[in-house]
Amino acid sequence: MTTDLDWRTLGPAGLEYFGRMCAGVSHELKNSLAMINENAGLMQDLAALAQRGQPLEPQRLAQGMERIARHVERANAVLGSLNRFAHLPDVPRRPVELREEVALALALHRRQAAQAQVELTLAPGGDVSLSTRPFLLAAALDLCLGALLAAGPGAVAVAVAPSAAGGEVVFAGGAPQAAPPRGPEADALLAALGAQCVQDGGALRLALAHLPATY
Amino acid sequence: MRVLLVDDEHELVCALAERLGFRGVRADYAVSAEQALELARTTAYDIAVLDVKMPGMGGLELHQRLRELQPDLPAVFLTGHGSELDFAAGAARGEAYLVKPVGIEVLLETFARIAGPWDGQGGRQP
Repeated sequence: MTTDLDWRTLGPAGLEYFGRMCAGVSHELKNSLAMINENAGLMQDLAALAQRGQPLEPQRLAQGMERIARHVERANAVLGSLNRFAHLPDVPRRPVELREEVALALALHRRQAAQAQVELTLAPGGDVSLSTRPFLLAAALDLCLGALLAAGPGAVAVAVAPSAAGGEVVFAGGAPQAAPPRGPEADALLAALGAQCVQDGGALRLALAHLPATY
Repeated sequence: MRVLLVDDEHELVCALAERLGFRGVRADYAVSAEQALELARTTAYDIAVLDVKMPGMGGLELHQRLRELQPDLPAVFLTGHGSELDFAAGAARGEAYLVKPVGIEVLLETFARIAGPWDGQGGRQP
């Protein structure tokens, strides 16, 4: 059981997946930097106008500072997600809190979801401990989210629940034609996780099993 | 000079519009393609500044739709992405392709290159 096995399981789609996640993060960071840049520039402009005698409203400065602070916070959160994502392959198999892994997947897909006009929300609920391969789990969540985003606009509630075998992630709502991911690469990935993805009453259900230490 | 700014990030586009206003560029802004088309139905613009990636209709398609209303409208495309494919598509379809964050002086130089100098009061120089 090595990280190499994760990459072999994912095949060429693995690099594509890694690149897609990084591109989404870089886009988010660029947007935050652009907003910081523009609002800092606006405050410089207001200061220059004040030096020339135009009254400066404190409210405008406060608003600009608040926007900058908010986007610094947003960029920091995006970088936090990138850092967690980058470290997923560090330990090929380990216990995870499934809800945290799903939250990370949703954060990494935020921009893609916005582009596809799909609103993703994590439904309230308790956490589920699962012994799994975190990098492959993230890739499986990406497959499910990709199927939902490709199906068209809508609102998707993502719920995490325990099951007899381990845990499950249910994607409810969204476009009705969202189909479970299929094909040799998807099948190999799900098999490596001891997982199944099925359509169940209009929802996508990703059932995950605890993986034994020897897996 | 009158410019149409389109980006789904409201706090970016409204700050940019105000800053351009300080520099004699009349800038209207929209946060969706639909809003932009609505503005272009009633107002003639010298340049459209379009975010390439927006929810729903992106900047490249929006430019085509805007040109149905204003056939000679040039576009400056802005993007947070820097991929070769995006660059090729943007550079082929617009007068300029700039990667965020963009300095306002760079944007103004781009406007001047495309539309010629303006008088600082919102109009073109004679």
